Amino acid sequence: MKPLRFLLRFAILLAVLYLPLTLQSVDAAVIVPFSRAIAVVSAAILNALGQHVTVSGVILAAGSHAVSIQNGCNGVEAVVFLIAAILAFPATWRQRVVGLVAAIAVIQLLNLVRVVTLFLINRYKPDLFELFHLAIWQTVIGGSAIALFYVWTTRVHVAKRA
Amino acid sequence: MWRNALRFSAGALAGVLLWWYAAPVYDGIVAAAAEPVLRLDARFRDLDTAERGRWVAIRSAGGAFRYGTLPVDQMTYNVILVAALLATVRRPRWGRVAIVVAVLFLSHVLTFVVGTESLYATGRDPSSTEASVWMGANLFLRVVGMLGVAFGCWWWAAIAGSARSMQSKGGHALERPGAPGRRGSRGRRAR
Repeated sequence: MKPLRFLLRFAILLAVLYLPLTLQSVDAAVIVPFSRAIAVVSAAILNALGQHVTVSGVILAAGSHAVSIQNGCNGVEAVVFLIAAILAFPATWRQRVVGLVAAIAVIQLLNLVRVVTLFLINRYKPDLFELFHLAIWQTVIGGSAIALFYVWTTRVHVAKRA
Repeated sequence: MWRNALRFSAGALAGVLLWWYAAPVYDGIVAAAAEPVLRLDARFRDLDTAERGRWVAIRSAGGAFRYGTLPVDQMTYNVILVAALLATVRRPRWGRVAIVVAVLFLSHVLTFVVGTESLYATGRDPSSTEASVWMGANLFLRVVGMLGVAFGCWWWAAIAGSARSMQSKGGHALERPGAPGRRGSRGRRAR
């Protein structure tokens, strides 16, 4: 497969898959409930760590400290990236489904760690919040999504050679 | 794998330092480059921008539109991911790296332009189709576009840079960035 053709297919798929999610109706029906679910699970983890967190929609709060799980912090962008990249890459549908399920599970687990740690940083080291929020965790999530895709492509290739 | 992870981490650290300390200056350059593009829209014909720390102020010399600010560092943090990914490439083709830097800069300028249009379109009438289109484009660029551009740049510089590795007899063979060539034809790469 030509590299530029892959990139073009990837870019088109990324736009086709993500642009509908920017519609307010889709956001309200799909993304916000998903972010709420992340908030509930994150709160459960934080409460297990003794944080006494309450959940209100997509907001996690404890006392005067709160974080809101917005677009870009729910792992959806990494999931859409993975779907676009895996669909653009030549592989069988079985390989794609297996790769997607595994990669999405890893990304969402990682995202829970992101939300929990960002809440703790906001509570105990608020001056570091922006650095971790924008620089470190975005790089970790993005880098992990790319690494997962890369590992998947090598597995697909090995299977094809066998 | 661990070596690549280490190189990725070192690149990320360099990227964080670059983004953290150079952002105010870089944000001003991005805004200045976006000005002529924004002025193509008659509503912004007297637009002027000024760097304000990690934000950029947008103002009209003649008062044609209200004063606004954009958090430009939130539009440029994928510099860190690009630096981390490029650090995993052991024999980078510097020509391609230069093109990657140019593409990244242009993507930041585009994001700034779309961010500005979105800011003022939602200010005029948040329920209008125009506002929805600009908001959608803004969200796309700032959320998933950031990741997509970083990935595309790396893929083009690292994977597509080695055309043979993509067009082997198998059809789409891949090499790990920096790993020895499959047939050893390029010899062992630098460690």
